[in-house]
Order: sequence, then structure tokens, then C-alpha cells
Amino acid sequence: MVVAGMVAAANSAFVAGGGCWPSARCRAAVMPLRLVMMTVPLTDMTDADLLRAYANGTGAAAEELARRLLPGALAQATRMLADRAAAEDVAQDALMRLWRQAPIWRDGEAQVSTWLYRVVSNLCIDDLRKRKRNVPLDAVADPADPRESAADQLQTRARLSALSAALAHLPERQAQAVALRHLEGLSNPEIAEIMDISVRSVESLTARGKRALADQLAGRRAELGYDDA
Amino acid sequence: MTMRKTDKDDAMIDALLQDVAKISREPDAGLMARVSADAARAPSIPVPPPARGIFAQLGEVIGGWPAMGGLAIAGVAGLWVGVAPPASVEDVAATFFGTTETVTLWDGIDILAEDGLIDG
Repeated sequence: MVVAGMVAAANSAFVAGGGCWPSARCRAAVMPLRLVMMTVPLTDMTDADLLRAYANGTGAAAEELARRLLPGALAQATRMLADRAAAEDVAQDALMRLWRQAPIWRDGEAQVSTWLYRVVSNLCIDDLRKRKRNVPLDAVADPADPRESAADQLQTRARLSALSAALAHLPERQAQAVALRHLEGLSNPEIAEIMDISVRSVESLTARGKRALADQLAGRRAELGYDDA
Repeated sequence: MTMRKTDKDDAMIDALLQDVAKISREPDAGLMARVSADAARAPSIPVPPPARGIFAQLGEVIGGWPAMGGLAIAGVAGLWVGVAPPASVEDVAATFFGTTETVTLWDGIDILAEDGLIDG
């Protein structure tokens, strides 16, 4: 992995340096950097560098990226969709789009993680819009803590399913803003960047989205175990 | 009564969102393998180039704008020679083909001769 990383990093250093290869002066400038880069393992490279390395033919860079990004993408999709298989499909689809984006990825536009939040969020909204139905409990993803009792696990699944179904009936932008803010814990400026809207619009969407959720789930407090809330 | 209910529902939504936000999930080996397989396959998928017009493609084949400019000038010169052939051209044509025939497109109107643009 270290060797793979060094080649890709040296290549990207060359490209960033203006592409003057193969003049002697250029080689003299790049080679020391190349030697320094030889010691950089893939695990220490940024997401963007890994993506560039993958685009340059370093397959191990994609595996490192998947190791970093897939858990988050899968968790995000699971929280929104409450469906094990659908969440896996979304996460796989999102990563596939990232691989295809690699050759034309442009630095400075967005962080890879931010880009992925947007893609997963959009794919989930598409999926919710198609379904607009309650997810069967047996399809709901496993809860986080396997040490929970069976009753607690059932409760968690019921809550996940209820929230996902309610999100499906919200206007898309509201559902997206609420999920990014309250399920992913992103800041309003981050959400504004992901959704390409102003921070004030994010605040408005999340507030209206939460009110709409309360309207939809009113009367289900006991069922969801929030009777004392 | 309505206010109390709304407050409780709002509190429930806050608690529900917090609880669902804690839910996480690790990808299993099967999903990771599928994603890795996608990554191994994806670079071979060519990114389609942006669509190009037929004139842009034709210009590229010919040799770009400089060649297109030369072609245009040659075309205009050829048209001019055809419309108002100098006497020398007619002589050369007669030498090669034995005889020439002149076709007048503007019957009875010799607009070029009036300005003395045709030799003879």
C-alpha cells in the first residue's frame, strides 16, 4: 500500500507542479518530492489524494477510500431508509458514482465526504419518494447495539421505521435538511453547501420539517415508547 | 390542551431524532467486496466526451481554423474565376480541350462587363 501510494502521490505532485516533465530542470525539482512521497502510506493520504491515486490506476487507493467512506454512507442510508437492503444498494451506488467521478474530480470544489453526503442524501430521497410506504419491520436494519434486549431492539426498529416513513411523506427538501441536521449532525453551513442553498433556507427547512414530522407522528408516542417525553 | 399536545409531540420528535441518529451499521464483507469490485471495474468505463457539433468535427478533420480559412479563400477565388474568367484562363482551357463554351447565367444582363471587370 505504501508503494502504491507513493507512485500516485508523486504523479499528483507532478501534475500539480505544472506538468513540465520531462525536462531535466523539472525532474530535478520533482524527484526529491517524489522520494519524500515514497514514505506516505495510503492511510495517511487525504480522501482527495486517494481519489486521484485511484484515477491514476492505484486500485489499493479505492479500497482505502471504501474503508473510510462506506461505513458512513451505509449508516446515513440506513438512518434515512430503515431498510437493510435498500441502504446497501444506496451505499454501493454512491461509491460507484464516486469511482466514476474520480477521473474528472476537481480539487477545491468540495470535500469528498461532503460530496458523498450529498449523493447519498439524494439517492435516499429518491428511494423514499418511490416508496412512500411503511417499511416492513423485518426489513429494518439491525440496531446499533446488539447487547440491547429483544424488546429494546424491537422498539428501536419501530422508531427507525416510523421516522423513515414520516420522512418519505415530507417535501423532499425538508426531509433532506432534517436528516442532514438531526440524523447526521451536520452544521447548517455544511448543509447549505451540500444542498446548495443559504443557511437561512436550511434553518427554515429544518424547522418546518420538524413541525411536519410532529404532525405526522402525533398520537404515536406510546407506540414508539415516548409516552413520558 | 392543543398546546400541551404539540409540546409533547415536539419533544417526542427531538427524542426520536436523537435515538435514530445513534443507529449505526458496519458494512459486511459482502458489501465491501461488491464495492471493491465496482472500483476495479469503474476505471475501464470511459467518461463520454462532451457532445460536439458536426462542423466542429469537420473542422478538426480538415485541420482547424487556419485550414478552414485557406479553404474559404480558395473557394471564393475559384468562384470568382468561374464567374469572371480572365482571358488567359479561357486560352489555357482552349489549348487543353480544343473548344470552350460560355454559359451566361444572367441572360441579357452583363453586369460585370459594365464595370470593365471582364477581359475583352
